[in-house]
Amino acid sequence: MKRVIALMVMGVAMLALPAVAADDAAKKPAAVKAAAGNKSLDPIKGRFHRQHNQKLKMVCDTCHSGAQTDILFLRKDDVPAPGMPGQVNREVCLTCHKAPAKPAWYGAAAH
Amino acid sequence: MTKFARLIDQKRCMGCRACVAACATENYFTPDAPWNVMIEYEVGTYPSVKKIYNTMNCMHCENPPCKAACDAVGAKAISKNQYGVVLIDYNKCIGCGHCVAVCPYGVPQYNREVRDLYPGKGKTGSETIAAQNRHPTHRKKAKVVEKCTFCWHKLEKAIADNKMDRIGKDQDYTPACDIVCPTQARMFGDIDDPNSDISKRIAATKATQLKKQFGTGPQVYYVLEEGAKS
Repeated sequence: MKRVIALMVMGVAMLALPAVAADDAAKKPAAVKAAAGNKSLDPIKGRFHRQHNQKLKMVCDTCHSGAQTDILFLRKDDVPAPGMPGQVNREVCLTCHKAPAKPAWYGAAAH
Repeated sequence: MTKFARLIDQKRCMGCRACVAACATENYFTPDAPWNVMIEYEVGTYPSVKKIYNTMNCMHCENPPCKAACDAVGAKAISKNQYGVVLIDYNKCIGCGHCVAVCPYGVPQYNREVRDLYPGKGKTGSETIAAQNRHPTHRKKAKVVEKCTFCWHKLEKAIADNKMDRIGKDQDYTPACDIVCPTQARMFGDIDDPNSDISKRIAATKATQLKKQFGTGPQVYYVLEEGAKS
């Protein structure tokens, strides 16, 4: 009798297995192609956001728009970080942060 | 004048990561702040797809934006020497991260803490060397920025030993990543000499630089696989 019950339990378990596996597959995130690249350099309340967004009143789109995910980027982790608006195109940074067009607020650290 | 450059041939690279491992061992970077990574991605549409392997390290730009940002901040920790090698002085670095933000290649790595190359498994041989006995580029400090140095400790030795002709050939005088490549996908040498191996190969393969639109003048050239990003 015990044998019969054990076989029945095993049978039910085997029938349920594909459903569980399918459920797991549905929960898995989409495959990410790039193996390297991508960590947000600065949290939303971090220093870079404070300077550009809060002090200089630059809107998010100034830096975050138009940039496709750039995978040619030396990073240990993956970008973009979940929920973040996307990478910043470095060309935007270099508009100001490149000699001789360096912005006037630089040099504060030296003081 | 000698100016060092590197050539990476994506058509020969098989993505083995020997270069990454060699760099890690030679420079014992903190795993969270790598100096060399292998980026993989796919191009094409099924059934014509292929994988691209793109190893990234410092581009040692002619116009390094990291140096411009560092100078502007006032730290002046980043320099570009007469051989074209961009180096960071850890004693001057204030850890502000401006160089990290502006580098189009994501090269500078902010090292939050000095950690073993293999955390929890003890130190490697190089890591046991006392700080004062190490090359300045290997005197690790927390909360400063680090990056690839073109293995300047080796190049410096070649210059001191008057063995410039052995750069790119001898293990002692060649960047670790370049000398270990089993498929000869990497080459290192003097780009100012039109007769050097690297100059000839760059010309022959029509090698190019990555992200030229930034105007930084990278000194790492790539032979791009068809369809590869640049």
